[in-house]
Amino acid sequence: MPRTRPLQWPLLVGALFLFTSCDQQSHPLVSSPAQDSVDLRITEAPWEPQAQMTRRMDHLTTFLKDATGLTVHYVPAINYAHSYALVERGEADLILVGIYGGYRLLKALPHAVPLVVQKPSYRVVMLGHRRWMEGLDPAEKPSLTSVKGRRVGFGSRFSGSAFLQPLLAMQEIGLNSADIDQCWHEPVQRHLPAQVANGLVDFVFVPSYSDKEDRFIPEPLRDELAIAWKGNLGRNDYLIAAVNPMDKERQEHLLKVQQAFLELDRTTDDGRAVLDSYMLPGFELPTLQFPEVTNQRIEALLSSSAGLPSCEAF
Amino acid sequence: MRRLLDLKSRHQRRGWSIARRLFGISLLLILLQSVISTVVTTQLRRHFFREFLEETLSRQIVSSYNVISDRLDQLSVDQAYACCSIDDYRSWLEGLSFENGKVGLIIGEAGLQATRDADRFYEITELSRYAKDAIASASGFTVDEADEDVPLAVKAVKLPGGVETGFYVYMRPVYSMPLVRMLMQIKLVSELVLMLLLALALLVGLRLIFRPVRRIQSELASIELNRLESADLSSRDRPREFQPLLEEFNEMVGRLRRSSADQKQFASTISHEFRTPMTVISGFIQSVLNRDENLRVQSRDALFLANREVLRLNRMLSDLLDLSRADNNQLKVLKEPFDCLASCNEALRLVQIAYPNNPIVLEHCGFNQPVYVIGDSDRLIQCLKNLIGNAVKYSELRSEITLEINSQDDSVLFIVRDHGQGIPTDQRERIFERFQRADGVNLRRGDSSSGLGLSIVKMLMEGMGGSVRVQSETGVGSRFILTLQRSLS
Repeated sequence: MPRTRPLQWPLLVGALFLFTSCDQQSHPLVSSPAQDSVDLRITEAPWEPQAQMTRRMDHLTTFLKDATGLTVHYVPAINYAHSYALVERGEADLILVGIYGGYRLLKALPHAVPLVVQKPSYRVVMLGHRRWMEGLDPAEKPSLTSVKGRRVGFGSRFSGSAFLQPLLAMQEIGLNSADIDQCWHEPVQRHLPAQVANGLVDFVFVPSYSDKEDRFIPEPLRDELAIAWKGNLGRNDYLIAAVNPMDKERQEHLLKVQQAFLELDRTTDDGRAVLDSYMLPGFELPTLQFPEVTNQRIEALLSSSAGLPSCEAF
Repeated sequence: MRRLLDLKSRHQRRGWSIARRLFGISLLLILLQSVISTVVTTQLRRHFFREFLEETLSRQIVSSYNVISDRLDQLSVDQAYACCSIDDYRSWLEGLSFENGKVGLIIGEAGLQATRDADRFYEITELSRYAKDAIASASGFTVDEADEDVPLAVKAVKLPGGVETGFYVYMRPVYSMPLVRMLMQIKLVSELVLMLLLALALLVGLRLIFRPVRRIQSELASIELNRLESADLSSRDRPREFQPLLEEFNEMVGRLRRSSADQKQFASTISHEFRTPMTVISGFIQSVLNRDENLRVQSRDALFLANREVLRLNRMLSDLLDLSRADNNQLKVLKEPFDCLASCNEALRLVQIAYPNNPIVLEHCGFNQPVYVIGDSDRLIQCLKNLIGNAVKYSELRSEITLEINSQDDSVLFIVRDHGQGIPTDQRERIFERFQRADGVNLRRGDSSSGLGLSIVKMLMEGMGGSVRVQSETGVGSRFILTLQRSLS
């Protein structure tokens, strides 16, 4: 596991100033009368059913309102690409992203800056059918190499936690997409386990954000599914701010938001609800390892796959 | 109000019944249990059936939702920004089709677009209403029961994005609902039948439980005061709960028996001890009256009065002695054929001497031959003397008393009729009890009554296998009717 080193506060503030100009013109993104009082807008790729996304964002915006006094408006996205586009086109100032979205945005937007990253608690988990695992030879332990010649389900083609992370893990042990027989994208990660139970695929990759790796398995499917393999503990999610042009007021807003995320804990109902819904222990400042080094690994992976990977491309 | 009070007082007189109370409480509990069971079952059915339907629909919606969700995931940025028109909805639903009245639809800012063939089953307005109801519900799930036979289960899921993408709604008819309803009806009927059977079983059970009580009640009813020797209740084969009660009762009977024996002995002794000196006193008084003709009028009157009181006292002692003997089962009453005409004539002769101031006549249907009845001639005479004596005491001076003999096929009636004050209806039973006299009925001046006469008549008549009864009308007179079995020999 790579060692992490927290950046110092002054460095981050300085970085914010470097990435942004000091233009004092009014904020161009406040477009509707309902948004007149909006201080910041936040979006997130729809990796869960929209109802859950909306509920979670309600908790998050309430928490931020209480912690910073700022009105943060949630902008729902239709899909991953749409969520990135909302940031790229300046229709959202903040985005909670996984490594894939983060890589894309940081690469595409020079003014985008990671505000906070999740504390290490992410682990990619490969689920398989319990029956299959029980039928294995005792010497043959299920592992990541088990995907060879199998049908595999991933999250959205733009998902970091349920697509790019497994690909990075496979790359580490010398596997690539050609080793998989068939592959399937399921944008709603909660629906992935059902794909194995229904026999549509042999394995699925799901993110795990706590010590309970099987938490992603729905209760009715626990008898059928089991963990076939799990990756190392690490990070996947972080919060990116992309405000252009930057002014002093918005810079202060972002600092407040950053501070609020850093102080996010379980002492308030909304804080607890936010952390529970993301299954995260909390946030901390970006490190040299994350997301920077991770992005370099992604760069290498994408260059080797000649463009953005997807099941259709395999 | 008065009637209500009457009912209440009657109820109070009757007292409360353990059996009825137990039956009522048990029935109430059964009813309560049945009602609670039905309510709980209905609620559980509603809850679990609804939960089951919701879970079923949540699972069923996944595959079609995934298709749409995947199509949304594949939208390019430009397509996402241009979203959404009704054509978009249509394209997302393309290829999705359901059978048996199941429908998928997308409802959002652009309008409503349903899967193919949906219009075969539903109007667009209906679909819109079902979808909006489900969207408005907290869980996104509703069961529309407008059609009771086939309700519609509806599940709505928000599509990724804002209002522009809208909701995906999946609905399906619940064809099994009539079966569920029928099962509930069968359950309700079976509850009612079970309740009825339980009530019947309870009745039977209560009868069985209270059988020992009824047996004891019947045994208690058969106890006679003069047969306390056999009044003990056996505790064999009795419920354990009754043992202390029976022991207490038998102890009480023992005490009563001893007390009764003491009383009888006392009465018998007193009667015996008193009769001898009374007879001697009476004999001497009569001897003085018969032999001494020089007595002054006042002295003679005083001796007459003294003699009469002695005779009355003697009669009373005879009555007491009879009762005492009867209580001790020592009273001898014959049950043999005898000529009742002769007995009646003898009784008539005696009472005519004893009560010369009242005409006492014998009426019969001109019997030419003796009429035989079963009984004791002396006792019949005693009974007739008692009845005629009573008639005289409660009638005016010179009022006629009639003794009528009426022969029937298998019995003979001896009717003593007077024209006295009569006996009120509510007193007619109690005048046959010992030391009891009818209230509101006055004796003639100078007469007295011990209240034993009619009880002795009753005792003797029953001893002879006959009976006594009274017919009376207040202010008109009374008819005392003695009945003896006719002898066929």
